[in-house]
Amino acid sequence: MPRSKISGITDKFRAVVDEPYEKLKQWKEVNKKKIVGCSPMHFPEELIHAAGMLPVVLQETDETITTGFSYIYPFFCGITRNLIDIGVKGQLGFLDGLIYSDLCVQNRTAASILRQNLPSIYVEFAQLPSSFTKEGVMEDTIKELDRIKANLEKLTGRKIDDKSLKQSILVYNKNRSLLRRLHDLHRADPKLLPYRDMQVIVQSSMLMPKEEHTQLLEELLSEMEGMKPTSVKGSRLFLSGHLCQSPKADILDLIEGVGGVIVDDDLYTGYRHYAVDVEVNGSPIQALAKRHLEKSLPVPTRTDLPIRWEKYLVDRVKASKAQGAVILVVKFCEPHLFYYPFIKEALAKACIPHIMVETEHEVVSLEGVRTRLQAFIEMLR
Amino acid sequence: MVTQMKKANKLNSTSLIGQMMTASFADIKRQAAEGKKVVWANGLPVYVLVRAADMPVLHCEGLVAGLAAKRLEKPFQDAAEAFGLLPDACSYARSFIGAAKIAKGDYRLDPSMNQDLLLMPKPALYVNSAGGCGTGRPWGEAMATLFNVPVYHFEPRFLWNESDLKDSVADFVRQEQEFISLLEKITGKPYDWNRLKELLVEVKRAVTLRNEAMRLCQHIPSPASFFDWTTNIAAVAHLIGLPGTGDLLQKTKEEVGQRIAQGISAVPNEKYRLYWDGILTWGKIGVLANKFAALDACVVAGAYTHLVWWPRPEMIDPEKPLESIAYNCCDIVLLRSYEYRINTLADFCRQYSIDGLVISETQTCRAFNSHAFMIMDGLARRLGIPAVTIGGDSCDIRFYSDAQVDTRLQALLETIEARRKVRQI
Repeated sequence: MPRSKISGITDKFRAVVDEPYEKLKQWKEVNKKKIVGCSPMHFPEELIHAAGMLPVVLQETDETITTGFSYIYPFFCGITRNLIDIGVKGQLGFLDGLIYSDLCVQNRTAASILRQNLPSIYVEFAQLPSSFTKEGVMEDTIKELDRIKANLEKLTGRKIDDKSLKQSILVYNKNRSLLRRLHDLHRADPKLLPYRDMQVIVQSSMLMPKEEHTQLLEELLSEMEGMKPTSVKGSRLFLSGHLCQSPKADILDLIEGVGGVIVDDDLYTGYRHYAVDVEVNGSPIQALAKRHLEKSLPVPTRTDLPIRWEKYLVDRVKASKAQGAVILVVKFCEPHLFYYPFIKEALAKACIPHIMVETEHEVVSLEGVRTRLQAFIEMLR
Repeated sequence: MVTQMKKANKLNSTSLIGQMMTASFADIKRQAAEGKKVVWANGLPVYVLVRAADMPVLHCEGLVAGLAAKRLEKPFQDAAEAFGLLPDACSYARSFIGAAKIAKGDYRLDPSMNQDLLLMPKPALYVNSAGGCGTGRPWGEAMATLFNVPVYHFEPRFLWNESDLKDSVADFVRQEQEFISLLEKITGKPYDWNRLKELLVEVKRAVTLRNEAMRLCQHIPSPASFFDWTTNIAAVAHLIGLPGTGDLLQKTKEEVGQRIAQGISAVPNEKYRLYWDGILTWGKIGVLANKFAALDACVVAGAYTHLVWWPRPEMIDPEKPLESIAYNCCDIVLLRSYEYRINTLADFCRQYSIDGLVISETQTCRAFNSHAFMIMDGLARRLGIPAVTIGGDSCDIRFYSDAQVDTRLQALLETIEARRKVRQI
């Protein structure tokens, strides 16, 4: 039965996501390779891959924050607090490197605290330009990538030449193109996979060796493409927001459980992650810089955007034929907070109903969220 | 019998600041009415560059903190919340966005409110210079979108390694040059470099006088307090470069010197000398000053007053205006690593004979709160100096609790007292 095969494959992805750092430790023991963690959103993992190391995008875990509260206030966002907490508890000690990026002031704080508390690990702070349009941003981006490339070469003892970087770009582009194929399949028939599984597949792509993930993804796609179409019943919804971290599965299940059908998204652990490839012609460092500067989707951690996020979102919602949008805001995520009023206004102007749901690292009462979502879905019918 | 509470002995010269602020807002409005293009700005004083282009500057922190100190900021926050901003967002930014909604006419003020105080002229340009705090980015973008005007984001680098300062300054100078080209486009006039040099002469005088006056507080008992330096911070922030700031700070320095000569202290019976890390709740500045004074505690120095606004006066050379501004925007404590912060703080503690540390838990500011607990721990380990955190927020008084401050402050002073006794044994 194709369904059971699909479940078998998604279970493999889930096993990685459920215990990301335990699984990575085991992988390292078996493969004897270095692992470098990256904070989410902006850093090009290809650079680490080309150095012969395993790049992983740090994921928030469900662990209750304890020791971390001796390092950080509770009014920092969930992933910041969680990573500091597990970092100071020693759970990230298996990493050989940790690269944070200058997304927001909270990310910078996490980088600085972890550097101080993980002295045996190479901790880097990537300051890639946040502006798209300032003079010299391309040169500055290349300069910063070159600086980190040199540090990665020192860490691994291996030169990152253009040939190996191009090869890594190809490996990553292939994975992204398969994720886009999956996205298209799901968009056309959202009941093929629960949305929580879509999240697991994307998150696992950030944690597993890309080649291995790609192989499993190809198997999954070949099973899914052979399946009969399902009948889609429910209210079509676009899921937006949740930068840096994946929404909790409970929230996703709740949306689908009250009759919502998630047809498209712009989440970081969704379309945002795989929307755009890196060019394969010309200088590979320049190609990575170009992806950062010219091709990334509108994001509130950057400035001088070619298109504002709210406008982009309205266009995407319309294209997806969603009846409404669910805006997931991570509590204390300031970049998102400053965009939400504009998003709210733009959606209202485009006559797109929406509901904003604030999410937290700690378990919140889902009943209140359920009631609001139920009311929202009923309004859409 | 009525017991008289001991009160803070505030510097007389700080009372002049209120008049200067009122006059400056009136002047911005006058210039706008005469057709001059207004620039709105947040953060560090890179907007001195704008003054040389003969454009009036409305500085967020000057406007919002000034109103918050008088508890008049709420209409701004109401306007921002009506727009959809949640209270978890930086209250400076939130209030300034509220001011923008009011200026645009999107949010109507109650007719009973003081319109003149709350209604600002619209900008032709927005400048974000949030000292490397990433919140400045979406904040600046929001303001530019609301008014449909250009925005320039100054982005100093985080000094991950001590050696990064030189590169950061060079990069900042390049941004200043680009910004000046933008000013020339907006004004349609060549930039007045001579005027900028003149302004830097006044800036250097004001900043140097203030730093000298603040250093006099190493004297025991301290002639002035952190609350005095916070009250007159506008002289080196919102008002910097404007006529009269140097004279005001000259008076302040003289007053501080006279106090030392006459044996007058900021706190009538100084027993404890404290350092303040973080911003304070502006709406409670007077309450806090008196609260500490009543307990014989003088806050003699702080990061916000001593390490953020023009922390490198010795680097100001009017003949090199861009480098002068760059050093003072790139070498601030918020852009420094934990190691630098703890070393600097330890130096302050020795120079100012600090007994305890108060960390202001500014609820909507993630920049100032970055290493709070590590700093508390680090200082205790290095110098045996105890610390407490007290709740609050820069411009949102809802996060402040008198009872919590009382309890924690009492606990800090008891700890200091207990340690003194141990030392005596």
